[in-house]
Amino acid sequence: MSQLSFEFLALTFVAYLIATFLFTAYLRNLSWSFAKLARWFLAFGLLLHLGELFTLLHASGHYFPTNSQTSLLTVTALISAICFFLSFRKSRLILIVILLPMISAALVALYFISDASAATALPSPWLWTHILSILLGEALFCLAAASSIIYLVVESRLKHRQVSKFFARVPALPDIDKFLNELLSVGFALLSLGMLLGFFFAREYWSPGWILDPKVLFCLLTWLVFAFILIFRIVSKSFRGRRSSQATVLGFVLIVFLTWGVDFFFHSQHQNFRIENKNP
Amino acid sequence: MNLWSLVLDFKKAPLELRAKAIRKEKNFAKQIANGADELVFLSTCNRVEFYAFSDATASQSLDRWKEICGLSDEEMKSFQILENEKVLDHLFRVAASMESMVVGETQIVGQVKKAYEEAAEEKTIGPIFHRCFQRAFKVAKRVRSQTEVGRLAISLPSIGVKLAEKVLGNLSEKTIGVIGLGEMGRLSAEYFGSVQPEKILLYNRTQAVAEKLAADLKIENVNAAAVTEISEILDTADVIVLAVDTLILKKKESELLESRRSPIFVLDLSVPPSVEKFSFQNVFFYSIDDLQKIAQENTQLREQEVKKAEAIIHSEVTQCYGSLHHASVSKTLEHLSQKAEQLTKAELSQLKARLKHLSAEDWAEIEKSALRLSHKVLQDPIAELRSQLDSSEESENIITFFRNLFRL
Repeated sequence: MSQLSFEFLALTFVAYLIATFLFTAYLRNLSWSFAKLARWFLAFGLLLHLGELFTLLHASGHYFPTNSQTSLLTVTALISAICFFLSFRKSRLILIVILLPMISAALVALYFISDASAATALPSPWLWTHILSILLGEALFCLAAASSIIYLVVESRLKHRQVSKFFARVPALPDIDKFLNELLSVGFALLSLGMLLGFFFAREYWSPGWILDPKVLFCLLTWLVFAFILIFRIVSKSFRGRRSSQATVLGFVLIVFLTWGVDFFFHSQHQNFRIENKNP
Repeated sequence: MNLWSLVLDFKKAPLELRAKAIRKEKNFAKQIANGADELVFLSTCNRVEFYAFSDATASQSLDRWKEICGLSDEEMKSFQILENEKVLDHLFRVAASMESMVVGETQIVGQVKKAYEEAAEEKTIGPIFHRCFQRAFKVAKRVRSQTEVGRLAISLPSIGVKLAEKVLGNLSEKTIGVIGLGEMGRLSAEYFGSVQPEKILLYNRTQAVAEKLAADLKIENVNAAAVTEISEILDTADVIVLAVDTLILKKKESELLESRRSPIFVLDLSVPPSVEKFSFQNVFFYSIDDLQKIAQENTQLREQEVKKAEAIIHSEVTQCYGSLHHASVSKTLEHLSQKAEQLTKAELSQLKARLKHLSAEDWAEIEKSALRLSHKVLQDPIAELRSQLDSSEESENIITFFRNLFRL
């Protein structure tokens, strides 16, 4: 079992922080050369990030993120890759300035996560799809939460007439809301797919009463929260914007708890993907 | 051939004059630039412009414009005539929204494209303008992606428009209400009109003023209407601009706004303020002092961005004008060949009438020989012209001389 490389992790962390600093410099004084340089640092950080991930997965013998450590590394790599693509759109740079420090903080936390236990061989490619859907969904919900934070800050500043030159680079409120809706819709679809596949495998391989597993219960709760957000957005115009942004941030807190908190506070069959009753 | 442009825009001409200088007839452009080889007519909320590549001079067309629209000598002072490189510079600036009321607004590219497509449909466009307009769209894209000039408004009404867009998004589906049509109110109506909102409602104590402004804005394709009650604006407008000298929005009226669920942008341009202080969740309120603060901040940053945009435009103008020049030479040579062919054919038809005894085969040989001869005669002058154009800096004069020499 390979351990995380401190040097790799530290270098990735530094590259992301420099990229954040340079993107912020662009937002402050509009010099596009800062943004271009920032993109190079982001790309460098992303390469290191992916390198670290593949080293760990290769060492485990299974190319699937099956423990907290590799899951977090995968989600953050996905977010970082999305950030790289967003860096080509000026109006989305502000989102990167929020997301990169979040990824950097996750990398620090990653170093202290002890759950690096060996992975269980996955019984089916569908279980791989379950993991990938859930992780990609989580990455999109993280982006949605960052968009919501931007919405809330921009709306509050506009409301209180605290409009500085910084606002020239911030998208219009309805544009942020539209982007939020797109992220929520795709994220929700992925979460639903991941959950359905997960339920199927839980029924097959876990012990009876799996539905009362804390991970499953919290997963259902999170799914319901996002379902309500999307339904209310369609039904009530006034729910769009501020209220759905607040609800999205709450939903994301639930996602974080579901992914890492549940395992910490409760015992779940999900830990290490323990498969019982049947042999794969 | 001359490349020229006639320009009447909001910088020099008030709305009334711009409205007076437009005719809705389909052949209006052709009437003005009669006989132009290539012609594009651009009419938007803030400008009326002709771009022509023509034998006739710009002043001849300007005289026709004056005559058709019944304009006075005083009014004609607002028109600009641009020639050669300046035409390209202006076209590129217009397409890049550098000449717009609200700098950076995106409708203008669509409007220029529409004018270009209409000209293509009417077949009044040729290789010169195809090249110019295609390049203009490319420049607009470059300026938009490589500079921030469009985001930094400095005039107060345009900052108002930008702020409203920040709160409400694209204004093309929104209703704008302007209360009070003094100088600031009229200006605001024009600025908001330039981004083509769904509707502009105008209110003024003297109803005739609102009706006149609505009619002028309609000529510029803005959906404007005069209203008789302020409540019509308070009930329906997404953006409310106040430019009056009395307190209009007291607490009671403001509560009307609160009852509406969608966000509303209120811009108070009155001095002293015409709104009682209020704070509602869905109402974004800005006063003239707020706009002035933003203008101060944007001014500095804007200068550096304008320089970047102008450098892009300058380099594109130089390149495009160079290639245009080559196109113009090719066109001159084409005209020369056509003329030689026409003259030869005319001469041959006269000869054919006199030499009726010749057989069809003999006659075909004579025709071929005559056309070959005319081409050979032109070969040397054309080769000499090309070498002179490559080596001389006075290429424009040489082409003019060549055209005069052959009366092209």
